[in-house]
Amino acid sequence: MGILNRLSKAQKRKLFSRFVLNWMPILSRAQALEHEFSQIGLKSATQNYTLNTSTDSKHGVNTYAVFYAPRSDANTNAIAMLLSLGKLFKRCSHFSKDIIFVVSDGQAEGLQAWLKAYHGNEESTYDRTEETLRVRSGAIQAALNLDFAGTGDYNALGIFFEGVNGQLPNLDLINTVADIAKDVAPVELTLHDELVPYTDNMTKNYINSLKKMLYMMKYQAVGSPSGNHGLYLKYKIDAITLYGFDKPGWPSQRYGFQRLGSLIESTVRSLNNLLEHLHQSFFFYLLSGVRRYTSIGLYMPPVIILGVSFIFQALSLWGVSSDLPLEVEAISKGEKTAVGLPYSRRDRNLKVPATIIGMSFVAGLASFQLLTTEFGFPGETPMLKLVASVGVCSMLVISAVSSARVRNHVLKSADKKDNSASSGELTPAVDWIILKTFILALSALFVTTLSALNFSLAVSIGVIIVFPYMVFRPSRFIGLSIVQAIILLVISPPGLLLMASSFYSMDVSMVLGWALQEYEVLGTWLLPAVCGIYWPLNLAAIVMVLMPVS
Amino acid sequence: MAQRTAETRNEGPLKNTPAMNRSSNTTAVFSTALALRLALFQFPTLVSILGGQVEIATPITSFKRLSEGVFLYRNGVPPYDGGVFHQAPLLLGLFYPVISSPILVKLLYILSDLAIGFMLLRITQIKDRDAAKDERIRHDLTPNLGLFWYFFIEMFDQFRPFFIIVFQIHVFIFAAPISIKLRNHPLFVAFLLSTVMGTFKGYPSVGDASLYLGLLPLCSEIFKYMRYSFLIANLFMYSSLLAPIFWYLWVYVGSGNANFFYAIGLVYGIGEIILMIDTTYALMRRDFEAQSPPQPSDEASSHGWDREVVQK
Repeated sequence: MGILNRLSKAQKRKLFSRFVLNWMPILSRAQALEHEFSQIGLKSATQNYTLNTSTDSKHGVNTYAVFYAPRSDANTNAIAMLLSLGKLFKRCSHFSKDIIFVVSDGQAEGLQAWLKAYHGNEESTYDRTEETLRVRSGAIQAALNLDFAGTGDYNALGIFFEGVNGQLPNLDLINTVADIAKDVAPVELTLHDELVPYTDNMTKNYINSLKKMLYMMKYQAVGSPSGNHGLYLKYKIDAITLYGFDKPGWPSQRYGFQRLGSLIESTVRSLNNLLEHLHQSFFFYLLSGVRRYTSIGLYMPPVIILGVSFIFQALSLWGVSSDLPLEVEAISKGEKTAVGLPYSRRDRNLKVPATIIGMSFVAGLASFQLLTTEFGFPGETPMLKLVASVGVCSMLVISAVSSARVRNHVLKSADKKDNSASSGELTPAVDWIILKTFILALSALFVTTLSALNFSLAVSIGVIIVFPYMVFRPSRFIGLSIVQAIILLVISPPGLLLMASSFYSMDVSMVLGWALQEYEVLGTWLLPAVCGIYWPLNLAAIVMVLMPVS
Repeated sequence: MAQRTAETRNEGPLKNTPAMNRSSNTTAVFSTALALRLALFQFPTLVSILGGQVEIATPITSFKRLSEGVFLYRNGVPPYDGGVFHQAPLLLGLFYPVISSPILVKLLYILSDLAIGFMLLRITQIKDRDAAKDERIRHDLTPNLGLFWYFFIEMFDQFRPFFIIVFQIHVFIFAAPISIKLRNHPLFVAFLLSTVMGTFKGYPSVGDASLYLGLLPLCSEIFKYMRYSFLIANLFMYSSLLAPIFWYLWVYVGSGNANFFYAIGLVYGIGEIILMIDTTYALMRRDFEAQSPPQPSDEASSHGWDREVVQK
């Protein structure tokens, strides 16, 4: 690197980082970085990892360096920045915490391998190999993920904060960066990578904020992180991504290396001043702007109302399946019996609906197993597996509907025979009523419990199913039942998959492959939740609308 | 006692089969139960996951702590000294010879499950009385689905002994009034008292729920008088789903806190209390109908009474 000596230090680092990132093979790249870190005087090391998923195989090398306290953590791709900061921190004596610099390889899987090994969870199976870390420090308190493409200047700084399965970092971390970007190192700060001008039109401002919030909810609902910071959150480490970008024509002041450095240094120092984890603030929030949040107290009531609407209808149907209708009839006829009538004299026949619900869950879990297992026969693709699971599910629907109809037929003909004899016996409520009660009760259960884990996913599932599940019921006109079944098919997982892929004009197999990949690499809950919860209820609902009316 | 017991105890042997098929059905049910347990033991991860759930393994039921106690005892250390082991000395004696062999331990659990099932079956056949109680006061602040641990982490140390007594009184204070009032229904008393214990004891787990839910079908004749069965089922489902979720948010993610988990313990407690109230109501209502049948002349009002009961 003789030529480099003539350039200024900052230029040298920029050139080096470009060289390292773009042209060197993985292993020598890691070694070069390790060398640079140790040049600065930091204790550095590399880590190999391999990850085999059902569709792909990934290998890479992570590099990291620990700055031991005179003690924090920072992960970054902006290598030049990292090296400079390393040098700067080395000169500072006021740090009371260790700072770790991680340059991870590949996409999320590289950092995940590092995090696993750091917390002592490294595996060495055929599917996953993560090398044990040689250099270590204490428990990580917070992390900053730096994403600065290119070597030029930027005029805006974006914050990405959505983690795996919709987990969020403590709001104070975002507030800290927002404060610093206002005073200490003035830069134009925004959420994600979009700048929306503030206008005089209030309605327009509201809609812009709403768009921001929906954008965030989208990330949360699918459960994939919006950046590498998302992986830290799984380990109780608050983390955000800082993303530098250039928006042409935006009037804000441009900033370069220098100001960015002081922003990061101030943030790291703020974190350094903390005595413990950030915890006295918000973990449950929706952001519609850097300085504008919606707290859990405001956004939870709608999802509770959604859940309650399911429960209320389930309760009323449960009442209908008991003596309630008879009681009402008795009152209308002017009989005095209504007062003394105990509850539930009419037997509820739970066997048929319970079997259908049970079978639907078995079918959903079977589809999940089908999708995630690698069978190893030639020509095996996720698409083929999806077709197979749709086959399993449709088989269930067909067999359940046909047996329900046959059963109804047999019961009716038996009923006709001893019509004269049966006088006092009360006929139990029809099967579909109980089945619908079950579906509604379970929907309420899942929507409300899921909202504690991942609000956005729960609310999007709730909004999709609330109308069909509440309104739909078998009809005397077979055509109407079929129309309902078709609508339910549209909102079934394969239907939604088709719609999503046509909306984003992507190939269906690509979307499916992506969902599988996210589950296998990052362990997101979208696929298990859809197959284990959403699909079974949808199957049961389809069976319900096709069941005999009486 | 064991997580295994909790899952499947109340499934099979409680069905009332007609006399003709009874013996063959019983064999089928018991062999299915045996096969199911043997199959479940083939998933070691399942055992470790369930063993780590706070709803299932409490300080006085945890197998891990039992193993530790046996280990200490075997190595000549007094097991009760360390503050880790709180289980009954008899359990220590029972597991001392078998714990080194996993097969024997599994066999012990399976056999005890089957024995419990068989006894429940015998009870349904002869409907005789049998109830036993044994509780001891403990002092360990591990969170669980119970109603009391939260108070003790909030409380000043000097009040603890007093409140331990106050809370523990709940476990047995109901025994006298319930036994007097419901003296004609010994089986129901057994059910009700085990529910009371399962609700108010210091370290309840789903094992306690499996006990009273296992005893409940012995009084299946009162089911049709129950008014809140749907509500109770829902409360149990919500608490069993939300408990692990809130535990996860509190302990693993760090975004929740102890209040979340305790709130679910309260929901579970409410479910148990409504179950007790509703079953007691149902039993009394049935008694009332049996003792005061409607006037034979008043056809209309007899419409609401249960014919079978009135005829008795």
